[in-house]
Amino acid sequence: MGRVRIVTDSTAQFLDPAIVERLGITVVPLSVSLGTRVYREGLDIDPATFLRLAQQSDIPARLIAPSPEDFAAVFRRLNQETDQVLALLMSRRLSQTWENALRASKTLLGRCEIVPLDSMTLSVGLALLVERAARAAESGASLEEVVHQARSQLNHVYSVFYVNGLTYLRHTGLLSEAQTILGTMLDIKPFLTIEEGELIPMEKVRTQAQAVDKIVEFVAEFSALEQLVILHSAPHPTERTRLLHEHLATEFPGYSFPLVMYQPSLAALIGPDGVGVVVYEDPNAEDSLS
Amino acid sequence: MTAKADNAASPPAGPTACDGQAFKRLAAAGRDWLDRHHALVNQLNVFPVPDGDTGTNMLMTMRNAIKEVEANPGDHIGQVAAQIAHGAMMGSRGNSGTILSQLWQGFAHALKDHKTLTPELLVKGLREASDTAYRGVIKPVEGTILTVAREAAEAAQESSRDTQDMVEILRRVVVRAKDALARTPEMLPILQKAGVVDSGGSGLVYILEGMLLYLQREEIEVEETVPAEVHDLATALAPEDELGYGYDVQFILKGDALDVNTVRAAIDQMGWSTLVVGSQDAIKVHVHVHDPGIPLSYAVSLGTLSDIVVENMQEQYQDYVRERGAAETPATAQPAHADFPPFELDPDDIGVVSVASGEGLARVFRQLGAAGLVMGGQTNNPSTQEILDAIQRVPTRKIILLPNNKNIILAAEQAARLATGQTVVVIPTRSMPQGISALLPYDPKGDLETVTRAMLQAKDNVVTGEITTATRSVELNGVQVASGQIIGLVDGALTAAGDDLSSVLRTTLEHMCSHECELITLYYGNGIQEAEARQVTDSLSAVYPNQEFEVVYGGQAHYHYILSAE
Repeated sequence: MGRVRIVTDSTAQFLDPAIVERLGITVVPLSVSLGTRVYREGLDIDPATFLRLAQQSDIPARLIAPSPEDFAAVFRRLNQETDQVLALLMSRRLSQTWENALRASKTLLGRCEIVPLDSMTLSVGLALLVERAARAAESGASLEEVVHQARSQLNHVYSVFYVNGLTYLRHTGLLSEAQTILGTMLDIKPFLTIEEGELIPMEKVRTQAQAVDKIVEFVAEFSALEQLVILHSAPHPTERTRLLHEHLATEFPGYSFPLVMYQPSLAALIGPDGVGVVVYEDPNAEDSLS
Repeated sequence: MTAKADNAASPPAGPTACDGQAFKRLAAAGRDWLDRHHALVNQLNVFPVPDGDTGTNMLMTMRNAIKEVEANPGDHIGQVAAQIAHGAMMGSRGNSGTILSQLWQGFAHALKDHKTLTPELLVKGLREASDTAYRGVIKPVEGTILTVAREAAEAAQESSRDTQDMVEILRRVVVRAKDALARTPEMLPILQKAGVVDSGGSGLVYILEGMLLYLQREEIEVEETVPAEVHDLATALAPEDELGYGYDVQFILKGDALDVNTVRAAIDQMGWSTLVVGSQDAIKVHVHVHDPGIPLSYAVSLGTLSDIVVENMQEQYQDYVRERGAAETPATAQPAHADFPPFELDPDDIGVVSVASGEGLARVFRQLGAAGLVMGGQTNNPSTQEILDAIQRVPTRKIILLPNNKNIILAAEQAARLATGQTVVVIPTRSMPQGISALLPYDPKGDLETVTRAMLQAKDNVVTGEITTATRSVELNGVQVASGQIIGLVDGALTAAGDDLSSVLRTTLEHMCSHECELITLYYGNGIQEAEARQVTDSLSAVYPNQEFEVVYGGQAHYHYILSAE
């Protein structure tokens, strides 16, 4: 009865937002709080305004997962058209979202087969996976096939960011105390990666130039890039994103590197002033990193 | 030396053998002669900066060597030499001290299993000493202590063809060593520019000469003529000016039941070139010290003082003394950063041991994840033993070691070789900023090879600047420096001098290509107030509007500022 439907959360950031509608993807919004205000991502505030407010705010933003009831409502609605749902969601190590979807899925036990799948990533990386799953579903693949394909693609997504300071990371509690205590006397720009769904500090740098070099170095390790997206935190390219873009273009001629302003949800995790790249490596490449 | 009585009676045949106990005294004489002249050796600094004084480092190395063997009553030369070598190794400080300890290791290796030192063994020992020391450095440089050691060995070899008299052999060794020393400026242009001979080579000459004098004294009374000869050598060795000697303090102490020996021992601890003679009710004291207050305060506690003469042997010495007084942190002191919890490490992780030259810098290293710290730096190079102890306190099997000073690298490498049960990699960082930069990519969970490569690469991301006070006058790299002036160095090379701290700072930053960099960090020393550092930085940021500035308490001695541009 009906094809497989794909659900994701609002941290998924699509390069082409139109495909959400075209492929019939359902997006469940997370909320972000800033001071006393709470905004539903993608509905109540646009990213540029949010980032600007967050940059001005003394109090770091907080990420609020959709409730189990939010998910249950979505699942019930979809159940009218289908009994097969893949909920491909942001890393469960970074938010309650996946757990809440899991709880919601149990309320429809026996009526609808719902697979909440931890994407172990978020943002553009999540969107890349969701888009592929939705295309498979559109072409008539079974839930089992779609899930299998999505799982196999998870470890081809890599994200790295560097942020200006440690304040946000300390606030969100995503880094252990031992890691956040570092660099309190010196101004340190930590370099973060998402590994197994976790935000891991890889290295520390002191200058933006070094950070740009590190990102380029990171990207250079891939033998085959299928897609590479630059994430930044301003509506227009800044000096450092321009520098990064330039370096990448020199290093990888013939590729295009879309520049995307990141979502409030990512800002609530790493802070409103990071820069990063998301890489989707060619899964068919011979010696891809695993 | 156990000069055989029948041999000694018929010159020129001198002693032809030496047992362990005699050798012990011989080596101690080498130490003592170096002790009396180490301040001169300290003067032979290419750069007029307060740094790891070669003479002091070599002396401390020798002291530890002799201390190790002191209690050994044995005659076995092989065992005595092995103990001396071990003591030298553990006590070695600075590059010259470390090379000296390697000379001893080679020498001891040649004597292994031998009961008595013969001329053949002496020749072999000196040759192995030189060979071992050459092997101990990655890129041997001629015009250094290595050249002096090698030529000394060659002289021994040549002499042994026509004499078996060990005094004669040693005499020729010393003559040749001095000759080699005198030629070091021809081999190493930087020495010529600075107008000095090599300091490490000079230290070795004093050790060898002390041994010779000890032998000669037994047979001929040379006590009076020796100082004259040494004075000549001293003049040859000393820089053109008479600076850097600290204070010459003389006085007469009067009291009741004074103990000359006790006073001599106490005064000797305070300085160098000590002369203490007298009786129970009056003692004449003559000593060279950095702080004249110390011997004077000590003496006034015992009686009354008269005929006090204090001569400042170095212009502008007051500044130096003030800093030094504030900075007498022995290298063995426990770092004052216990306020930070130790970094959690598993035995399979990589641990970092870092040398830090100030309290603030120690904290920076700690915060960046260094699990082990060795206090030391420019003016107090830690010994191999101290570095080894710090390595062993870190509970990981893999260690990365940051010497953070070019004069600590060899001792660090030696400590790395001595560590058992731990793999130790030395990243040859030459300055504190290089060490901090190297530490940024440190990942305790990473693979040793990858992390090492990243850290090696990162250390070169900074340009280091240092602001200090000149310890002597010199003209170098086209920069004219008067003793007591503020000087600036960029990656170890003299680049600026002047009387005004902030203008020297500015020129130094200029040479650090700071206009092209993004971030300039000032680590201010223990003689600088934070407000002063901030004020200086404010005026600099007007000149460097596109650069970010950071002001961090370094707490280092002698160096007003350590700068990094990256």
